[in-house]
Amino acid sequence: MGAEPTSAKVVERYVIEKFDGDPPTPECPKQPVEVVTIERHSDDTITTTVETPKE
Amino acid sequence: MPITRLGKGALSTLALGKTTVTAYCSTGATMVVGKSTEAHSATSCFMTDPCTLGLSTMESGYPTISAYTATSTNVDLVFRSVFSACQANSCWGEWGIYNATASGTDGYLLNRYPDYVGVKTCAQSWQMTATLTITT
Repeated sequence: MGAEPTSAKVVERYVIEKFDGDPPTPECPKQPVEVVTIERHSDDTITTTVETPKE
Repeated sequence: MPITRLGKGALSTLALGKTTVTAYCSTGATMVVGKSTEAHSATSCFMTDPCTLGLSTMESGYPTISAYTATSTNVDLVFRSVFSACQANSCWGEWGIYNATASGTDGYLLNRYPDYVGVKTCAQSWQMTATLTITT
């Protein structure tokens, strides 16, 4: 996973937000414990980032 | 991976206004998840692993489409589904946008993307947001 930065356009982006327990709702918002972002660019390079947001 | 061959056919059918294909709309689109990370082949038309982990319908307000004009170079289609604690608990290795609520029915997989993103357990809920950009 991962690649050198590219200036090519992003043509697919997938964001997976992982929550402990139930997912957030408008009444009960919550932060994800991990966010995985995958971007495929027009030159077929792929960039993957994993973040762990803090409360 | 870009749109599948069957996905291209489904989009073309929808463009002609034919009702033989379910639109990838708020009530028609689903997100499907599987375990295999096998590379996509041109003839792939569904999850590679026959044991599909699960399907989930669209969240309220999805899918969306970005505003466009004659000068726009991109149009973004955004799909979002949530897999609750009881859904799709295993290794996530592939996913795509589908237009049926059960695997093996008459749906058409719009796209398939293989990549390992972790193991979901019943202690977590995962939200997937997929943005497909049609660009020049």
